[in-house]
Amino acid sequence: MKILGISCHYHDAAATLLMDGIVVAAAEEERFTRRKHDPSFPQNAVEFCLQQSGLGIEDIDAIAFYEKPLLKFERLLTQHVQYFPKSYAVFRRAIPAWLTEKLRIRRLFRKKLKFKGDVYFLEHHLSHAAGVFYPSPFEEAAVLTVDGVGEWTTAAMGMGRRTHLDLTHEIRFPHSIGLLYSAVTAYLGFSVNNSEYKVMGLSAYGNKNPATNPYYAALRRMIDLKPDGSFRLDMGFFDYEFAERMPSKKFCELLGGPSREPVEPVTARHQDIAAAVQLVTEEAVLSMLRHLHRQTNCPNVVLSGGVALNSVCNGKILSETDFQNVWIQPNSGDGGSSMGAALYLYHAILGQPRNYALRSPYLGPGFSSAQVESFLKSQHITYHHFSSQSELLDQTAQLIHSGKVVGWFQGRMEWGPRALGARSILANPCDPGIRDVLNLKVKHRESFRPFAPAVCVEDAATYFECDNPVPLPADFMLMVYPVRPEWREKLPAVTHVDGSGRLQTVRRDAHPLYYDLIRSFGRISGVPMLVNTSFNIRGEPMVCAPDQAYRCMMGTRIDCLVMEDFIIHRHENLRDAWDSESLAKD
Amino acid sequence: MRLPKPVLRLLSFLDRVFRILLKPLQVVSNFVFVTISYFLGVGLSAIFYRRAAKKNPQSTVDSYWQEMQTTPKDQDAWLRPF
Amino acid sequence: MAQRTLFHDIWDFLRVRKAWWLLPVVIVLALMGVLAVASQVPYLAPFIYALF
Repeated sequence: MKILGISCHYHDAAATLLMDGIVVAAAEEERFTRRKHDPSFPQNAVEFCLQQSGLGIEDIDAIAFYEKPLLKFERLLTQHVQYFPKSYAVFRRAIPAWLTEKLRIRRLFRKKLKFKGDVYFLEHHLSHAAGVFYPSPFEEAAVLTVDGVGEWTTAAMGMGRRTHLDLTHEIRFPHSIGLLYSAVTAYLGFSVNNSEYKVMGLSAYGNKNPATNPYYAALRRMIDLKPDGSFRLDMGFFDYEFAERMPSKKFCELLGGPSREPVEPVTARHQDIAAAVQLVTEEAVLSMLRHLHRQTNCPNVVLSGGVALNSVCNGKILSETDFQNVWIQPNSGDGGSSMGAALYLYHAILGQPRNYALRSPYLGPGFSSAQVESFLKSQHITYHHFSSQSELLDQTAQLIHSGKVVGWFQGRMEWGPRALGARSILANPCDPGIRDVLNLKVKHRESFRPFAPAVCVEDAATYFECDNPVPLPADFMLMVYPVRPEWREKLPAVTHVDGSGRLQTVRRDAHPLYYDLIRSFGRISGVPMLVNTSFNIRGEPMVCAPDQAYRCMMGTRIDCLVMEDFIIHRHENLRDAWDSESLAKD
Repeated sequence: MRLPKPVLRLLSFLDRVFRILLKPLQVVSNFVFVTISYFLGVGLSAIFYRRAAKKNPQSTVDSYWQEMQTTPKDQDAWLRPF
Repeated sequence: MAQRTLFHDIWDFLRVRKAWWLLPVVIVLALMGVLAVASQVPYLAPFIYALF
C-alpha cells in the first residue's frame, strides 16, 4: 500500500511517501523552491517522492493531509468574530487564500496532482503525535505534543500502544507555550516562526536564576502555570488573536520598554529576557512531562511539535523527569507531520502492523557520482576525483585540520531543519578562530550563536556530560548537554558561553562516510569531533542539489566542497566567485 | 470540437488583454467584497457569538487540561476536513 | 466514497459542530467567495501565524 502524507499552507510544507509502512522518501518544499519555510503546496516535494520510488500518482492509494482545515478555519473565524471590528485588517489579508486554496484541499489534489483517490484529514496534533510515535523505537510510549497552534489545540498528551494512538488531554488556543515563545522572539526583534532558535541560543548569555532574573517574574505574571504543567495565558499581554503583532502594549510595559528593532544591538537586558522565556518554557514542558509520567507510568516518552526542537529543554528531560527513554523525530515541526499523517492512516485507521523505525534521517534527494561529475563537467568546474574513499577522507580530514572550511555534500539530503552530515559545513572544533570565520564570512550571522559538534556516538560521553546511554534524538542534534569542563577550552568553536554544546552523535550504520571522516580527523588532530553547521547562506534553505552547493561555496568563504567522490577548491574556480553577503537575511 | 488555430490565438490574445485590464479592477473588487464580508458576516456573527458567550461563564479550575477525543466513532470522519 | 463538495463539508461542519453563530459569516463569505476571489491570491508570509 502506498500513502502520500502532505503538510502545507502554514509553514514548512512537506511530503512523505510511505510504502507498506516504510518511509521511502520525505522532503520539505523549501529545498526545491529555495524559499525558506515555504508554505505553498509541495508540488516539487511530491514529485521527488514519486520519482525516488519510481511511482506515478495513479499508484498512490490514499493521501493523508496533516490537519483538518475546516476546524482551523472555525478557529480563525471565531477569532475575527470575537475581536470584531479590531481584526478587520488581518481578515482582509488572510481570508482570500482560505477561499481560493486552503479550504479546497481535495480540489487542490485533483488539480495539481491529478489524484482521484481518497483524501484523509487528520488533526494537526494527532499528526504530530503519530509522526513521533510510529517511527520511534518504542512499542509503547507516552506522547506529548507542544507547538504554536494547530486547529484549536496548542499542546496535547496521550499514549501510544503498538498501532493505537490516542491523545486524551489538550490545552486550547489562545493559550500556547509556542506562541508565548514566539511573542518573546518578536519582542526581541527576531522573526517569528523562524528565529525562535536564536532566542534559545541567546538565552545562554542571560541570567538563568529564576530568583534573580526580573524578567522571569514578569513572564510568570503572564502565565498561570499549574503543577500539572497545564497553563493559561493572560491575554491582556498578547495581541496575536486579532492583530499582526504578538506582544501587546501591556507586555512591553511589563518588560520595561518597546520591542527591540532588528538593527538595534543585543544588550544584557535582551539576554536576560531570552533566558527568562527559556526558563518558563522548560518549567512548563518539564511539568507537563512529569504529569504525563504520573498518568501513564510508562518509561518511554516521545515528544513532538515545534517546541520539541528546543534542544536545551530536551537535554533535561531524562535528568529532570522519571522517564527513562526519550525519542523525538528529526523533523518534529509541521513538516514532520506529513510523515505522521501517512503513518497514522496506515497503522491506526487501516490497522496495519508497525514495521518501521526511523534510524536514518537521510530521506531526501541524493545524487550519484556520475550525476555530480556530469554537472561539474557541464559547468567547466575544476575538480579532483578520488576513486578511493579512504583517500577522499584523508584529504578532507587534512583540509579541515589545516583550518579550511569544508562544504560536505554526501548521499541523500536530511529530513528536518538540522544538517546531519549530508548537507553540512564542516570545520575544526579546536581552532579558536574558526567560529568567527564561520559566523562572519560563511554564514553572515550573529556572533552570539553557537556551532554544533558532531562526534561518533561511542565518544559522546568523553566530551559531554550526557545521559548514558546517549538518547537517540542526539543523532538528530536535538539534545543540548554540558561540555565536560576539561574540554571546554580545547573545543572553543563548539562550546557555548554557558559551557553547553548541541551535539550530534553519529552512528556508523546511519552514515558510514561521515562517521569515518570524523574518525580520520580524530587520527590527525587527536580529537574525533567536527564542527557541523548547515550548508546554506543565512536566509536560504539548506542546499539540496550539486549546483546549489557549488554556488553556495563560491558565494561564501567555504574553501572547498567535498561532493560525492570529488573535491572542488574555491581558489581553483575563482571565475565563479561572488559575494553572498548582501543576500544574508533572516 | 476544436476551434481553428487563428481563432484560438485570438482568444488567447483577448484573454491576456482582459487579464491585464481586469487585474486592478479585481484588486478593487476583492477589497470591496472582503470588506463587505467582514462587516456584514463577521459583524452579524459577532452579535450571535456575544449572546452565546454570556451564557457560558468561565470557572476557576485546578488544571487547565481539557479532555479530548481523537478517535472518532464513525470511520467517515477521517475523510472530512473537520 | 462519493466526492464531497466544499458546500457539503461546510454544511456538515456547521451541523456537527453546532456552530450556528458562524452561519452569517459563512453565508456571506460563500457569496463573496463566488463573486470575488477567482484570481490566484499569493501566499502571505504567515509571520503572525496564529492568524493565517
